[in-house]
Amino acid sequence: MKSVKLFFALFLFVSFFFTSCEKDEIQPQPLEAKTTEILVDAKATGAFSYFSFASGSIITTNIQNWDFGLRLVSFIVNSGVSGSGNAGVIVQNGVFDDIKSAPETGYLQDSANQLAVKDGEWYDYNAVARSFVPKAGIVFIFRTNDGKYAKMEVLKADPADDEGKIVTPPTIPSKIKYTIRYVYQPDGTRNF
Amino acid sequence: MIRTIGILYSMFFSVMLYSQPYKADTLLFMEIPEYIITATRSQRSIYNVAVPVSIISAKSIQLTGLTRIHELLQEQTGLALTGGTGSGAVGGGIFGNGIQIQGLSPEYTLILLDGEPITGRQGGVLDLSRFTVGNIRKIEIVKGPSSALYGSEAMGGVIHILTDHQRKNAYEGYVRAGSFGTIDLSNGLHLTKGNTAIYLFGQFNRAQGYDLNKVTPEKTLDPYFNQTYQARVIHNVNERSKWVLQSRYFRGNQSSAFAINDNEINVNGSGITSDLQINPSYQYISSEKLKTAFRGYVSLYNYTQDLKKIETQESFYDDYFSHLFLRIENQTDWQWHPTQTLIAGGGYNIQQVETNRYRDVKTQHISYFFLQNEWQPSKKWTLIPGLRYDINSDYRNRWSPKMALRFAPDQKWSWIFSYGSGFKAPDFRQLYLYYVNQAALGYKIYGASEFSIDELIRQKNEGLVSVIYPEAYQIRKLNPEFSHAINMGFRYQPESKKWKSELNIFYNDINDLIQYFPVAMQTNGSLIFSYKNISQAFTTGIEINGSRQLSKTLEISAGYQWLASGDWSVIRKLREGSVYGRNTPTGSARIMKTLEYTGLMGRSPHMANIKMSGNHDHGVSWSLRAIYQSRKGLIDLDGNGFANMAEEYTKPYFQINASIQKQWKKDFTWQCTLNNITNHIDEVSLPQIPGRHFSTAILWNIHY
Repeated sequence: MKSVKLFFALFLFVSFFFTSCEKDEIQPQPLEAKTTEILVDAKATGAFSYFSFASGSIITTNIQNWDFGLRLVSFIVNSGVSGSGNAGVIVQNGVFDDIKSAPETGYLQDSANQLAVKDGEWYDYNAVARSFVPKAGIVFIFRTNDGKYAKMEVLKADPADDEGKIVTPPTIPSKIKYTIRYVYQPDGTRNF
Repeated sequence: MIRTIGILYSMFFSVMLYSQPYKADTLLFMEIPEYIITATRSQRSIYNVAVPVSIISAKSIQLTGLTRIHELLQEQTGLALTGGTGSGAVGGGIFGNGIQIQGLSPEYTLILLDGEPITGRQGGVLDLSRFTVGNIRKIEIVKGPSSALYGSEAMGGVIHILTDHQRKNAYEGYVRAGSFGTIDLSNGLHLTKGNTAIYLFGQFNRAQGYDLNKVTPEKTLDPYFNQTYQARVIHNVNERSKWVLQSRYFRGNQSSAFAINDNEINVNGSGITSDLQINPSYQYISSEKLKTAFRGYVSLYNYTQDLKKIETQESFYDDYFSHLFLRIENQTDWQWHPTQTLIAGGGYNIQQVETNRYRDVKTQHISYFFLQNEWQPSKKWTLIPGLRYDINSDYRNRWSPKMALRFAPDQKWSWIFSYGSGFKAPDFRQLYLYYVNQAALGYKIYGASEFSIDELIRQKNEGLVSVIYPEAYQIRKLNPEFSHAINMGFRYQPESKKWKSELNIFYNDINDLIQYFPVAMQTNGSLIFSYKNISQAFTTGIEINGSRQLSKTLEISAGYQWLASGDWSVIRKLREGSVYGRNTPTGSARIMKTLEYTGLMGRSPHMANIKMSGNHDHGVSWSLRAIYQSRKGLIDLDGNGFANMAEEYTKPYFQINASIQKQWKKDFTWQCTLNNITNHIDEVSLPQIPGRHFSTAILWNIHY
C-alpha cells in the first residue's frame, strides 16, 4: 500500500515536471530588459530631454515621436498639455521583473491641473543633503506614443556635468545622469 | 573657615571644590572624582545616583593630550561622534561635530557649560569643536532622558562641561604644537584674596587644516583660528551667601575655499562664529537644610559666512544666524525631613533668533517649573520622583515626569532603575524656516509657524502653485518630540576595590519625530515642504564598562555598547511587504524582508574601547587608547529609508591614540601625543578625523 502511494506521488511529481516544461516551451521568449543612461538638464526650468522607447534613446530628430520628457526630477509624457501625442503612464509600486503585462486602462496624461507623473512620487528628496534618490520598487508602465507598451524603472540619478561626468558637492551639477531599465514590447501586445 | 566656604561652594556650581593639581601618584581611570551634580541638580556621590552616569576627570583629560571636546567624548563608551568639519562650510560639515548618546542624534543631547545651556545649534547640532579642553575640570555625562530636570533637548542625555576652579593662587597653562600646523596656547590665572576669588583664562588655537582627498581642490578642513576668554569672580559676602559672576567669550574664524563648477578654487571667504555668555548668580544658605540660588544667564551666539567669487569679487553665498538667549532661574533645596530632600525651581527664558533664512526676527518665551524629591528611607534604598512643566508660545506645553530607584544591598552591589520622559522642542528651523533654494532644485521649505494653508491657496489662485497635496490640510501646531525611556543596570565593585564593572540596559521610545514632507507642487515643477510630527522610533541597547588595576603602576579599562534602533513606520511597511530594495549589481528592485532591516541610519551596532595607562617613577606616565565602531548606515541609495547595500554603509572605524609625559617637581610637564596611529581616514562620514597626527606640549601649574 505504501509503495502504491509512493508510486502515485512520484507519478504526480514527474507529470507536473513535464507539463511545466511543456508550458515553458510554448511561451514566447521573454523580452530582455535594457539598461541605458540618459543625460538631462539639472535646472528646474531647463529644457526637457525627450526619450523614445522605440529608438531606445533621447531623440533630437523627428522630435514629435517621443514618449516621455525629463528634466531634473520632472517627467512629462507626450500628451495633453505637454505634447501632441497620445502617450500615457501608470506609476505603481512593485517589482519590475514581476510585472508580466501592462494594464489595459488607467494610463494618465498630462493635464493643466496635474501632470501624469506627480512630483515626489518616485524619488526621495533629502533637503538636508540636498540630493535625491530614485525609490526602489517604483515601476512606470507606459502606453507609448506609437500605441505600444513599455515598462521602466529608474535605477540611478547622478549629478553630472555637461559631459556626463559625475560631480559631487559643492559643485553644482548642470546635468543629471539617469540610469533606467526598461522593456519595450514592439509587437503591440501588453505582454512583457 | 576655608572648609566651610568650600562646602558652600560645592553646593551649587559643581565648578567648585575638590579640584586639585594633578598628582603623579594616583591612577587615571580608576580614580574618579567622587561627586556629580548633573544627575540630580545637586551634589551627590557618584555611587549614590540612580541613573547611568560617567565622569571624565581633568587628570584623564590632561593625560590624553586631546585639545577638543569632541575628540575626548568619542573615546567614551556609548558616545559616538557625528558630523563634519568645522562650522558651516557650504559643501560638507554644515552640522559640525555632534555626539550621539544611546543612539539618539546630537540634537537630543543637552550640553551645559558650568550649569547653563549652550546655544547656537545649527541644523540641530551644536558644534563641539567650539569648546577647548584647556581649562575643563571635569565632564559629567548623564545618559537617558533628564527633561524632568532640564527640559528640552535632554532626551538622550546631558553632557555637562565644568570649567576649572582652584582654591589657590595658581598660574597654569600649556603650549602645544602639532601636525597640520596646529598651535595651542592656554593660560589660566587663579587669584584669591580674602573673600574674593578671581579666575582669568585665555586660549588661542590655530590650525592649517588638512586634506583627506587630494583629488578635489578643496581642503577637508579649512584653516581656522579660535580664541576663548573666560573670567569668573566669586565673592563670599559671608558664610551664608555669595555672588558669582562668570563670563566667556569665543570667537572662531575659519576660512573657506571651494571649486564651484571648476577644478580650481574659484570661491573663497570666511565664516566667523562668536559666542558670548554672561552668568551672574547669587546663593543663600539659610541652614544646612535650606538653601536657594538665583541665576541669570545671557548668551549671544552669532554666525556669519560670506563667500565671494574670486575672479569677479561677486557675492556667492551669504549667511548669518544670530541667537540671543536670556534666562532667569531659581532653585531651592529643602531637606524637609531627615530622609527627604526636595528640590524645587522655576525659570523664564526668552530666545530671539535672526537669520537670513527666516522672514523676520523670531522670539520665543518659555516658562518652566520643576520639582524633585529624594527619599532615602534607609541606606539601601533611594527613590527619586521628579516632574517638570514647560509652557511656551510656539508649540505645545509639555509635562516631563521621571522616577529613579536605587537599591544597594551592600557595599559591593548597587542596582539602579529609572523611568524618564524626555522631550525636544521643535527647533527654530522647524518652526520658522522660510527658505527658497535659488540653485539646483528651486524648492521651498516653510517652517510650521510660517506655513498656512491660506497662503498656499492664495498662491494656487495666482498660478504659482499647481497642486496642494491632501496632507497639507492636516498641518497643525507642532508637538515637541518626546520619549519614554527605561534604564536599568548595576554596578559591582569587590571589597578589594581592585576592579569594578557596571552594566546598563536602555530602551528609548521616541514619538512625534518631526520631519519635513511635501505640501504642494509649484508650477515650475519643484516642491514646497513643511514640517510635521510624523514618525516613531526606538533605540535600545546594552552598555558595559569595566576597569581593573593590573599592578601598582598599570591600569586597564574597557567598554562596549550594543545598539539596535528602528523606525516603526518602516517596520510596519516591511511586515506588509511594501518596502523595496535594489539587487546589486543590477540595481533592479526587489521586496525587502523584515529581517533585512538594519535600523536607523548613522548608528553603529557595536562600539568598543580599551584604554591602558601607566604611572611610573620619576613622574613618567602614559596612556594607550583604542576605539572601535562597527560600520553604520551613511546614505540611502534606494529610497527605503535604511542601509541594506554595502555602498550605503561607512567603513568600520578603528582608532588608536597614545600619549606619554614626564613631570618635573609637580610644576612642569612635557608631553607627546600620537593620535590615529593606524591612520584611519574616512573622508565622507568622519571628515573631522585627520590622519595620523603628532603633538608635543609643555604644561605648567605653578602655585604661588
